[in-house]
Amino acid sequence: MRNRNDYLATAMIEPGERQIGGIKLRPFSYGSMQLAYLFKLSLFTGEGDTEQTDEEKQRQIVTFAWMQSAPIDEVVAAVHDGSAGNPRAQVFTRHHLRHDPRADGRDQPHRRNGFSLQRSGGKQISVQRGRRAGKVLNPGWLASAVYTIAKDTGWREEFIIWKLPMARALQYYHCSLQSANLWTLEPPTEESIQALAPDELIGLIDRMTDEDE
Amino acid sequence: MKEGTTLSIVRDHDTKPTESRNTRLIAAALSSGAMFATEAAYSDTVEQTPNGAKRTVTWLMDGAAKLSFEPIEVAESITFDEFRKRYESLDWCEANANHPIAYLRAMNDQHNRLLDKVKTMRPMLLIRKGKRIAIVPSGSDEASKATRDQILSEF
Repeated sequence: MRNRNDYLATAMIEPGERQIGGIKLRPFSYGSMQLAYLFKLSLFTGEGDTEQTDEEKQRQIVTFAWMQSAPIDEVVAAVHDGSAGNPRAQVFTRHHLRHDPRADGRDQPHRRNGFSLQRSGGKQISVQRGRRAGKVLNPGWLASAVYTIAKDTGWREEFIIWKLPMARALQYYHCSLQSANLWTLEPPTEESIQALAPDELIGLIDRMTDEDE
Repeated sequence: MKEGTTLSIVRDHDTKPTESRNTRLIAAALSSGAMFATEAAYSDTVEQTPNGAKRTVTWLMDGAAKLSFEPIEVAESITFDEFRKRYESLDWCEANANHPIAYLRAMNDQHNRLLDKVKTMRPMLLIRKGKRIAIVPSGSDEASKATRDQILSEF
């Protein structure tokens, strides 16, 4: 069985681009994760616990393949203009996977709208609420991670966001945090908590309490 | 606890607080005007040690507070019935607060109050990890277990 060290070591030698089925895919990077959130690709972000329909799974996989292989400028432009890849994804699938999502002829409004961006209106409202409540407003997770890595390494933003495989970027981010004396602790397990507060001791205290009464 | 408070620590190990002489000592001291050093002046912890479980009961008293005693006006000799009459009369004890009988009554009442309170307080679990110490609820109920797990997960 592979342990944590094996996974970390493998991540460090992971190749950048991959060739799958004749399609060249960029490495899964911080930028990929950001796009996955924007495109609501819960298969890749792990968000949401509802079972996806086959159609939705297909939409997500096709979109993912498109956003990892189309030129970055094109993907980013699609995010900004709100078309966000759906027609392009269909072109992509027709040409590359020989499958048209609209092949059954049905209109699929949820697909058309599925890529529409959640524009910043809602977020602005929450920012104003935060001001009134005096809450600390944090930068976005990606800006925070990129800033942290770039501050220590001097690497360019574009490289960190689009070219650095996420499995490695996360390790460098961890290095930056550790160099700033921010330590990551191993998550507790049932066993580690048992070792600190064993059931036998709790039982002994139960008996002490009974005797006291 | 305020900064600069003088602490007097009263502690014993592996003795039930309900049977401990220290509990009587604290009751006597409180009856004589002594004060706790803090609102959380009592702790009862159980720790797993290489020699087995170790229970420690600690009282924190204000070491700077003065206890003042005034002599009664005249020496007296009384019968048991008179002693009993005075001892059982709270009004008499309050009116004669410096009398030894009032002290005895106050100490007894104070001790009972302490015992009633102590019996409602389950020992806490004391856990050491290096130089760090955590004192967590020791209950088997869900709420205690959740709090314990939460604290220990960050310990």
